[in-house]
Amino acid sequence: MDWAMIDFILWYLTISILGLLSFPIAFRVLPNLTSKGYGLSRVIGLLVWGFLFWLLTSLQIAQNTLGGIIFALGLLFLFSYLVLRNNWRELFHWIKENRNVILQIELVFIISFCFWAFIRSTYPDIVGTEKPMEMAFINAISRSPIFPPNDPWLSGYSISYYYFGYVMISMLIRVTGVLPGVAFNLSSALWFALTAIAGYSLVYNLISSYGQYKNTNSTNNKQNRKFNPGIWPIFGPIFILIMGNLEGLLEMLHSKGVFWTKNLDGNWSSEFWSWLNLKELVNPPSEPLTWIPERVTGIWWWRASRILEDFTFSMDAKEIIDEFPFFSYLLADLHPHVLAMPFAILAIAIALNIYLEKDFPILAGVNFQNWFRDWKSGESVNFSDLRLVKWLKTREFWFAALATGGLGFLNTWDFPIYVGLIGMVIMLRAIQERGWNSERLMDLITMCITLGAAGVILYLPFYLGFGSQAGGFLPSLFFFTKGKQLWMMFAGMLVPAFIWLIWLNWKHSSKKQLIQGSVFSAIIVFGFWFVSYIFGWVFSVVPQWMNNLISQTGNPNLLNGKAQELINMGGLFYGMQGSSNPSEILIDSLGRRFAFPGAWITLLLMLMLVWGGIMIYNSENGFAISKESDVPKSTYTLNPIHGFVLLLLLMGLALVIVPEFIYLRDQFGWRMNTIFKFYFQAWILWGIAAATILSILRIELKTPVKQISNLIISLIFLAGCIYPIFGIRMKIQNIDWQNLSLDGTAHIQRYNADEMEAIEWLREAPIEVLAEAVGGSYSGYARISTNSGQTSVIGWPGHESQWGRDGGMLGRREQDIETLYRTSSWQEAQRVLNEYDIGYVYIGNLEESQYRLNLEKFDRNLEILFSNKNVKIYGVSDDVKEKNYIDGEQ
Amino acid sequence: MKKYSGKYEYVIYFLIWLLALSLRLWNLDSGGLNDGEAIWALKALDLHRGEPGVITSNGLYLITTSIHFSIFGISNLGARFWPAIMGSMIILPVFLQRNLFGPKFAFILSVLFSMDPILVNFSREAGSSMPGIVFILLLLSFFNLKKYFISGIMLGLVLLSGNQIWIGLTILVISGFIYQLLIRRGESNRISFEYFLTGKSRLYLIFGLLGTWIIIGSGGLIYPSAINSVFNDIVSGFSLWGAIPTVSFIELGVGLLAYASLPIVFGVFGMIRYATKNENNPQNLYLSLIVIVGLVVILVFPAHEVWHLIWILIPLYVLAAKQIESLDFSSDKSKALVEKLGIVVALIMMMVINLNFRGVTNSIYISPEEMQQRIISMVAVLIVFIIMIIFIWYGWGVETTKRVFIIPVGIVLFIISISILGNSLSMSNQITPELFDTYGEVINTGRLSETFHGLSISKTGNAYFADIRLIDIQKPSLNWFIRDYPNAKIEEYVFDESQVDIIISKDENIELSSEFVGQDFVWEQKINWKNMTLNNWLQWIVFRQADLENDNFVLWSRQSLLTGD
Repeated sequence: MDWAMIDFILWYLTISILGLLSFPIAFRVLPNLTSKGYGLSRVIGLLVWGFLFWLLTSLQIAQNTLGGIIFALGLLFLFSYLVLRNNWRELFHWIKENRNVILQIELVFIISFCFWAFIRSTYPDIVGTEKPMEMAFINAISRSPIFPPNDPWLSGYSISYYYFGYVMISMLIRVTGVLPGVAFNLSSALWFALTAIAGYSLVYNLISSYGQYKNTNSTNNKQNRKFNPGIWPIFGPIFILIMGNLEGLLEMLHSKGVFWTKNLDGNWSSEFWSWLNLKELVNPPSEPLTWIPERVTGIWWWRASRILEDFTFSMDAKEIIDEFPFFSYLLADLHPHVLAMPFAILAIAIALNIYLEKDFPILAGVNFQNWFRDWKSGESVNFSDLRLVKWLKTREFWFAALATGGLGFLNTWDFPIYVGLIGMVIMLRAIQERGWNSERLMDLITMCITLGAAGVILYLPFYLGFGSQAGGFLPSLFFFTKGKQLWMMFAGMLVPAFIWLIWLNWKHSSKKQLIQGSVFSAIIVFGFWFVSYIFGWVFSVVPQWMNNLISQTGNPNLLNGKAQELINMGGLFYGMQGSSNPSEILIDSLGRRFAFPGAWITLLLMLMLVWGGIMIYNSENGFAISKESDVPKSTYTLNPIHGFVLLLLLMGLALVIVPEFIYLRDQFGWRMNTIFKFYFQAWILWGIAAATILSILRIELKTPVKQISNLIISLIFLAGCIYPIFGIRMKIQNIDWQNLSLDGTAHIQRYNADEMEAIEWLREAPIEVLAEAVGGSYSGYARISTNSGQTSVIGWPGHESQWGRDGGMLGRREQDIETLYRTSSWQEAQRVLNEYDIGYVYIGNLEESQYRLNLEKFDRNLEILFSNKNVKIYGVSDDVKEKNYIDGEQ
Repeated sequence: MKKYSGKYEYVIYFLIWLLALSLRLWNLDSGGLNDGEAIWALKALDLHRGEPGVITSNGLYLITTSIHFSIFGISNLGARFWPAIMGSMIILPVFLQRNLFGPKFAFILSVLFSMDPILVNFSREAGSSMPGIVFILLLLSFFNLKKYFISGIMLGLVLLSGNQIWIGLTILVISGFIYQLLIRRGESNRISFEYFLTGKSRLYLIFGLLGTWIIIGSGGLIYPSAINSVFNDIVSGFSLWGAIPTVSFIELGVGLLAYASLPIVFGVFGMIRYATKNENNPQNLYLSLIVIVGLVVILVFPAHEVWHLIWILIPLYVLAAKQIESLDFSSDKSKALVEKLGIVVALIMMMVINLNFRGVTNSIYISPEEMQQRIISMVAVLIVFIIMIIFIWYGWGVETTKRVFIIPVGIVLFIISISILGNSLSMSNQITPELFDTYGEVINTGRLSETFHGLSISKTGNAYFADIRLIDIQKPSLNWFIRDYPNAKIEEYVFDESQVDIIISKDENIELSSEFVGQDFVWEQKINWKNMTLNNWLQWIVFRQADLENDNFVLWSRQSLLTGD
């Protein structure tokens, strides 16, 4: 049997055993889900296991060894046993009754795991984009003696990045003994499969709960019948993972020359493509025309992740990343947003579980405001009456904190999003039970703060060493999404969502609720708009005013640090918007928004329908509630799953609306990363909603409306599937069946066997600081530290800067490495060796081509620890350093 | 089950324990630590010097020994002290189970345990797994006595005793599993966990286990990460199943013959007896299973070593003690007289056979004629011995014959054991490598130490302050040896001659100025067991003699320091 196959089986068995070990926890913490969290047990297992290992190692209780990993696994097993110690019969009974569900989930898992492992085996090399960075993290974490792990590309510092996913991968590597190069690709396949079963499981729960409620409340003989969701949950993983945006369709049409006409002089022209204004697609197609997307120069499938483009006042284009899951998997980077996907779905499942809880304690207590008022007035009040205290006592709260906090460590941007979702679930439940009023907002804020704080506390060691890339908010005036871009991106989900929203509001909403929806939507959209312009005004006018003040007084130190920061931000704001004239910025940007109203009108409409739907659950029309602490009663008759789907859409809307007006300030300066991270999560949320909506529409609609909606949804769905079909085709069209491999480092062996031999030697050698050639990001530089787990003096300087490393940290490292290689002076080389505590000096082809090497000084003073035809590794012993130090003093 | 309430019971067991302790502490400081011991001693030393990161395995040894170093100073004795103390506690489980065994049985067994050469030798090694073995026996004893809290403590201590205990635990678990399969459901002899799993006992055990693991395993919470060492041991213990074998089956077989002949003869006899007489004794069945399973597991285990035979030696001793207990002279006076006379004659005959056998084995020094004579003598004595046995059987019956045969055999085997024990205690000046010594024996430490002191005093005025360099030598035993010299370092090559007074190198041809003169010396001696012929094996078994391989180093010193003597 091939080694790759054995590695695959090992990973399959390991993750499956982990899932079985964790199922009792899932069974206990997700009891309201019809699948009892079975499909999420592997994800829960990885989360709890990873958390225990990371925490114990960070607290220096466990060691970063295989023993430490087994220690954490033992604790997980113990925890699993304890949470269910008296309920085993219940669990076994459920398994017996639900073998069909288990089989479905297992099938989805094995098929998706095999499928993506196969796809990865056709192009396994870990080269290009940020794969080397991810590989470097994985290897560095595996070899770090303590946590926080060493930064592989900046000696003397620990990783300043959200690295939880890499900890999990490193744990799997060490438990299974698989080579890191193979594990990288197996991780891609594993996370694909985990996301697939998580998505499947969540949509299964939504559909089955929907059907169950419908059966229970029906008047016919269906009342006691168990609802079977059939094959429909499969649309969960299809919508989330497989479907793409419409760029694939556009590429196909473009390649075939559709909408292009050839003039008499032989030139192509097209109004449609000019209007669409997508880079590369505005150019005429290359002949011969074909239905298969092709690009003579460049990569056609890359464009799908860049269909959005922002323009400054002076019409300078700014690149925006709009990745969606299939693109990310096709690219095969193990980036945090990919690694966080199954855990984000877990957070949604936790929200659903809370939503479906019949007697959720929070709804029985009093809020802090009322409690404080009673206490102040001398009434007898108990601390335990507080809603917050009641919530803190529940296992749901702590599990939610573990999962959402874990998202903060996996992909920090996701943390507030899913805390917000859970907060909104609680708010909706409160609306359903007690009606809508301002206290609901207080509930939302209190719960979000509490859950967020708990999530931070659980992962505190991470935050203590983490420097965020975000440096505040900036108003987005000229930067906004156009309607065509929004629809190109999300059409596959927006179309079913709009059909369902219209049906829901038409069928169930009253006029009053629609008005409430309209008002709410107008407040939110125009409110954000207003706030962004106020911000814009502040950033435009106040720095100018301050500068004037300084010039009038002639005292440059007049303002404190914060004021100076505001001036700097103002400067950045000017620079980014492309004009230094505030009135120009404010007025022209407003004009442009009205010239391109597609996106905000879409969002306004959608928000109106969503809020109108949510207001159907508002119990204020049902009966009056005398006191907040009364036992809640629900008055609505609408299937509660509608409410959850509305919340998913609402959260997605928030993620799309917010960056229309405000974005996070990072190293790039414009919306590139904000859109990337927000739209990616909106895709997941709307994907789940759309998959559930398909089933709801199938159940609820009647012909001919049903047929028309099916036709429209099918067409848009097929359009979304064109991208993955051609994407996969491109990867497997020249498949070499004999050379399928999962080893991402095999290319090093193929092209530079000597270097691979050296890397293998360094993998076994003690951890030291390594000197190797330094160069730009996304390149082959830092390749030795990347693949060996040793720590380089400096790897990709640009990326270190992105991770918040300032000039003081980066210093003159790049120049010093150059000096080390080039200088003929041993004294000078000694200084560099000492300053960075270098233990290995690596000489390979890249070093030779990069620097004019002077090796004589090394040959005279250092020992060669490893050498072959093309590589030499010099060792710098402690004695040399000590001696160096004395020499230095001399 | 007989309950023994002898007047001097405690005194007797105390004396046996004192014997066990004396044998384990005797001459404990002599001889340098070998590489295997030095690895652990150096880790304990690092811990003592404030590096908790070294506790990745065998936490109990490292913590107790580092505390010992802190209180009593750093020495070979300190490095070996705690395994010796804990090894002597092997008497305790026998004492605890004396009512189960019966007084005579328990007494014989405790004496055998206290004096067995492998058990004594293994207890005298720094970092050995002997404490773990003792704690497993204590765990079983306390569990049997339903002392669950103390059982939990013992289990915690077992887990902290290194990775080698996992082979033993594997043997015990497999044997227990087979035992449960063999005993029919519902039978009273079946091991029942019902009481244990339902009462508070489970909690007591868990408290004991966790308390020990966390408090002792972390050195009183001073080194929290040491808790993890248990899991490192589990991983490394089981990863040994993927190791490449270094000890041959021949070495294991000879090891059994050389060290376990007494328990084998009596223990296997006991096993056969129980099997053929169908005695319904669950302990004997379980012990027999441990022996069989243990032998199979040790043979299959790729990282097997000769000392692993301890796992079958202990149950064999228990079975043997039962047989020895049953040996007594006949109540019939005439028969008793014959038995005593027969035993004396048999012993004399065995002595004659043994002396001739030694002569035959030592073939280098005897002529072919002498060898022929010695073989004829041996055969003749053997024939006389057989005739004597036939006569006794004919005249006085089977029981008398058995005694005349078995008792002298037992006495001879016991004497052999005692002689091996002498080797273990380093009582002779001759180097006598044993099969269970995985590493070579370190010699000349005293002489080297004297040389260092002399040279250092003549250079610095202090016995320890000389600048010493070990050049490209990765030898834990040597690293341990130089621990007291603050200016001793290991280097890949000599950086600066002017900074060095003494150099030790493996290579005779290192580049040094004429100021330095060198003298080679033997640091370690060992037997290459792989190259042994049948004749070599026989010689080794009889005389403990074999060709020794030397591990030599060169000591370099400045000529100027070599003034005087």
